[in-house]
Amino acid sequence: MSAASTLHTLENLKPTDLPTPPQAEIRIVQACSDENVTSKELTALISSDPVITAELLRMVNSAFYGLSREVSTINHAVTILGQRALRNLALCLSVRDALKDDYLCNFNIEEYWEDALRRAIAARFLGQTAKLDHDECFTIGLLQDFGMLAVFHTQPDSSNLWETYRKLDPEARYKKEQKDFGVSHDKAGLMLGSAWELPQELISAMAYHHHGDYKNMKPQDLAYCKIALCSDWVAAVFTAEDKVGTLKSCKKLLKNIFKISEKDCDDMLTQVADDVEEAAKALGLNVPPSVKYEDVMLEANKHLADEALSYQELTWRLEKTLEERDKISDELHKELELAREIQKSLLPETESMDSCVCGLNISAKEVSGDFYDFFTLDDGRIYFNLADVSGKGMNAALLMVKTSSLFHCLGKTIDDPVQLMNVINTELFETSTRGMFVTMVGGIYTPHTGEVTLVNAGHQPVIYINDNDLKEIPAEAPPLGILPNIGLSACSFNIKDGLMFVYTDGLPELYDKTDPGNASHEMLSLFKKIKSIQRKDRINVIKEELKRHKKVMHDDLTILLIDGCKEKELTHG
Amino acid sequence: MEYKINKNGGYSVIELEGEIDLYCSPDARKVILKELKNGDDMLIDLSKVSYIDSSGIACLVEGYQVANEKKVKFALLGVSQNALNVLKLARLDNVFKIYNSIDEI
Repeated sequence: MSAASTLHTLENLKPTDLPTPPQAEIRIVQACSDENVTSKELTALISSDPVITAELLRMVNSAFYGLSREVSTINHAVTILGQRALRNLALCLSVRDALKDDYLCNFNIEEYWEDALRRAIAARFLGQTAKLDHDECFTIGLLQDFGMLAVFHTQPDSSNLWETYRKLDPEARYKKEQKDFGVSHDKAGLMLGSAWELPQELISAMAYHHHGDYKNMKPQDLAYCKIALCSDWVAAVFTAEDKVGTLKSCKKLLKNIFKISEKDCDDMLTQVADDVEEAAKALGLNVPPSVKYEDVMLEANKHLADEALSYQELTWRLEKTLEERDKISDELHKELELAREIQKSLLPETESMDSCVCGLNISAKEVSGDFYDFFTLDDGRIYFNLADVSGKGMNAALLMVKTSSLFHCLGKTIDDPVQLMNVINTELFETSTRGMFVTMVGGIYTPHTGEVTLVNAGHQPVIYINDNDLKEIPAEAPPLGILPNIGLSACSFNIKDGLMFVYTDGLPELYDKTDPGNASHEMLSLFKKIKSIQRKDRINVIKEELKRHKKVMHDDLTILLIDGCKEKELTHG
Repeated sequence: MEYKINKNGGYSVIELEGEIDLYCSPDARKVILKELKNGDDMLIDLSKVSYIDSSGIACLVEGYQVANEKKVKFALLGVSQNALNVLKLARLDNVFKIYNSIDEI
């Protein structure tokens, strides 16, 4: 449907197109509103129509109206109730009669009256709370959404939307009306009220109970608008699909506007539900079987219970998942611990600190990509190596294990370091994955001569220090595993009067992260200090130094010391 | 780590920027291997790389090895001093072709 066409239709709607109340009732309403009409004249006017007289007396004497004594004549009614109350009664009758004879096809008029009565009863309660004329408020409640009928009148094919609207809260319904029809019931109510020449305060409440220029509104009209707004929410509690949300919004609104407590709100809702039947009877209207507030609460609580159950289930599942995660984490941790133990077992015994070769490996993670090894050949020479696998973690650790094993195993049969490392390079290259490589220093040390032959494949420079000299042996070839042939060559020199340091980049990075190849002054000072103390204390001094730099240690760190001096020759420490 | 990919003179130029460490290198690897699938010759611009560790170098090595298999060119461009120090230290400057600018190629 087109919003523009609806608006056009509404704008061109003639009063005769709207629901028409019986003229006799309208004349009574107008007479009641006219200050110049006397009680006698009003009595005569009403009494001239026996049907209206009978209906008015029935309404006045109904249980819903709740008068303490019976009113038997119109004269009596005018005297007791006053012209304003009679006007409201006549209005209610006129509205009822205007909608007889199936005003709208396919429109459930009984449900409409049921909702209108809930609004009317709620408005009467709120009128009492706000110390306003509660009969007037009742009429406002009954009439406030009358414009909805005019809207459906313009689009009779859309009557089926009524069921959808009933399931929405007032705000959502208001937006949907505007979307579906291009106008809302309050604007249509304004036209309808004007066409019927209704009292201004009623038109105002019909037209502005959702939105309006409240700043420039008379206080009483504003109060009626607020009552109409709240009544709308009260009635919606019984029909809206989202019972929990609508009830919550309704209670919040009543608290903010009328300072009504939650308990009083529940009491009011209970009363509204209970009074619908009586009010319908009084007005001579047919409504569907009544819905108790208890039933509404039951449904709302069921939703809440479902949500609570979902929340509990969610919490339970979360706890289970966390337990599972912790279990997997524990298992993984145990596996890593095992891997760490196996890795450590591949390193030479660290107890042999008094020997001329000793080393230390500290991993940044559970497992390390660094390793060192040394073992004595049958002829007394010592094969040594120190290496660093690219990356960290488990993949580096696995490649470390492989390389270490190759070196340790093949080293017993291949006593040329160049040949040995070429074999390892070929093996690594052929099985390389993800560009991983190994930087390695490998060599042979002959203790009785102090002769060292070493090969540096892409590794940090080896540092040799004696009392007078410092020697750096940089890499002469790229790391192992990158190319099939890397042109390895050996370098030989004598360390009989000094100490040789082979280390991974974790050590220089403690001092200069951006250029680990730069053997910093601090690192060289550490080496000199180590050289000056006894062998057994050296590893502890290195550990102390690492503790000092613990915060900046991000990489594995491995260091191998080969001492060419005889222990007895040490003059310091 | 940030990266940009440009096409220049038949080369796919990947400009890496920032630190290429253990945490960023998987991203660098993904970018390099994805571009290599196109079959273009490749230049890795390292002029804005402030730090590269062994996992970052491994990305370059893998790129180099894949490029060799595919018989496409693979070279480094405008290598920053910090990255160059690491490459030279490991003698990888003898493995990778390194150019100061694309005009040198």
